[in-house]
Amino acid sequence: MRIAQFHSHSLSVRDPTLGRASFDHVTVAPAGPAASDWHDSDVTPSPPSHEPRAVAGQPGAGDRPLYVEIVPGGSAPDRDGTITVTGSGDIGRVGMGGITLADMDRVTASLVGVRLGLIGAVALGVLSMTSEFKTGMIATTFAASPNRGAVLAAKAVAVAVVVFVTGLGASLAAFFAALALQRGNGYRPPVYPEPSMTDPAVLRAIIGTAAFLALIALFSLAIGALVRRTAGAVIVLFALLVVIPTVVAGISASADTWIRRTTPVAGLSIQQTMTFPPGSSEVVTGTWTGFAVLCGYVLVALAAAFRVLRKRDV
Amino acid sequence: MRRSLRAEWTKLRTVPSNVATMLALPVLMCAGTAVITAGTDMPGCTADTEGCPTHDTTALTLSGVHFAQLAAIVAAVALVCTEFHPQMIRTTFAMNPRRATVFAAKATVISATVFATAATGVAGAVLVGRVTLTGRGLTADLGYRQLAPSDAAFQRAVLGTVLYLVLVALLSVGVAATVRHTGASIGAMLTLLYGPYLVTLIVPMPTHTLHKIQDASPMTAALAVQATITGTGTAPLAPWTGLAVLAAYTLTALALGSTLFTARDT
Repeated sequence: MRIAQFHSHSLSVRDPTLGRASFDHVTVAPAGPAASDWHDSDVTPSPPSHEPRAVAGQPGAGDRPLYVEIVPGGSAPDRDGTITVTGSGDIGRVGMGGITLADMDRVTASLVGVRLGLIGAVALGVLSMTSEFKTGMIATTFAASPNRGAVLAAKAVAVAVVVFVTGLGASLAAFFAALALQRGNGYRPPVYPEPSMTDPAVLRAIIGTAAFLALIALFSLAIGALVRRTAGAVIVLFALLVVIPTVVAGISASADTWIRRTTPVAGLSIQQTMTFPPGSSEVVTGTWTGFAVLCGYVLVALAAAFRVLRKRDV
Repeated sequence: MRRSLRAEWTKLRTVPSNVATMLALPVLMCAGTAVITAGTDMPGCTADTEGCPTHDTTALTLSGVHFAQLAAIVAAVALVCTEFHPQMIRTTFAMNPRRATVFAAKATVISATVFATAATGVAGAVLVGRVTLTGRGLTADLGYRQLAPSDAAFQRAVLGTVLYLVLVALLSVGVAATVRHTGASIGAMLTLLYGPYLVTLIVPMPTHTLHKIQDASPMTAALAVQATITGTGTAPLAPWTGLAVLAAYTLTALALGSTLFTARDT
């Protein structure tokens, strides 16, 4: 495909402009269907309702638009072999000039609530250990079952199973609820393909999210056994899993990438179902690589907890 | 009241973990700022025809507050909740049956301590942050203009950050007196501060919804006090208005906490 003319005006971020690009001598190689069979798709999201105009002087409204308006109603009529594409935003052929099929992984986006859900997993994991230490119940537990390693293992299995089952239910519910909302907001095929439950990558993301929560709960249980204080353990885990990733994401792209590769939140890579063009910050680590990093943290923490529980007085 | 104040001060001062938490507050404030300023992206804006975007160095050097507030929460929650589990509270109430006085003493001691440690930490963080930014070559040419210490906006941001930490500690006292469980209180505080913030980060939403959430949630509204450049900041609020939102949360929590503290069985 060659571009004959490109009439697009510079697209300001603040004021959406309708651009127009004409393509003639449109052919496909090897020879495919005729030009009359070409079709266009408007992927513009529906305009936000009640969106107030930017008011000068109001902080945040005028200086830094957080939501870029997009004018709906793009079209691509075909006249004598010349296709004229009209629209706002990026117009042109997919794969050209930074125009990619999708800038968002619909599956990952549907499961993003895991960042809040992990708070519950942390609380359950920590309390399963620290509540026994606080009340002195742990002495009774160890009297009844002097094999401390077995006690730790039993607690770990119980916590992991409960969190995994709950997490799986929540992930499935979130996935289906989010899919409907995404369709309503314009995230539709062909640019945003419809994820299918039969796709192994989608299944891996959903089950992986539940596994992520279970692993976070196990990690929390181990930290709880090491610290033995609810307050200390919850604060350490919250700082590591929520505060640092959140604060850093807004400040430094390089540090954010590093955190998403090396800290326990790297395990969220299991939610990836798409590949993005090079230079995209959506994917920073391999699907299983990041998950393996989290598994490594959990194993080390559990091993340390096992050692400390056997050596320390209750 | 004086005896209660002394009693609460003794409880805070003589428990090693409380002392560690209070010392951790300024350390976390400085270390957090140091790490964040050291990790700030180097702007590659020299080739940009429009010049470099202006960065709010004041807010950047005060960003350690995210870590310092964790210590403020733990200290405040510990002072209230540890009374309930070994039932120390019965002894405390036997000593002084005026429960409202006991509650006021706790709130006073924690605010005074957090104010002192936060002031130290904030002063240190500003120094550390400025030195780090200058050391990395992030100067006014690159959009990192540092305000003079005599600048009113700078002084307001610094004082506001100290008051923010005090208000967060007092909010924690109110929540802890209501919940009476260490883990649950800390969880409730963290969810209250970071829950809405996380939602605004991960859920795409129109600007007016975003602004409503930012205005109404205690952390983002109150940290608007740190912004010294119009249009930046965590909420579209005037600095002191933002802090007043947190103050409203704190007063509500303190009222609820003191009512339950006096009305409920131990």
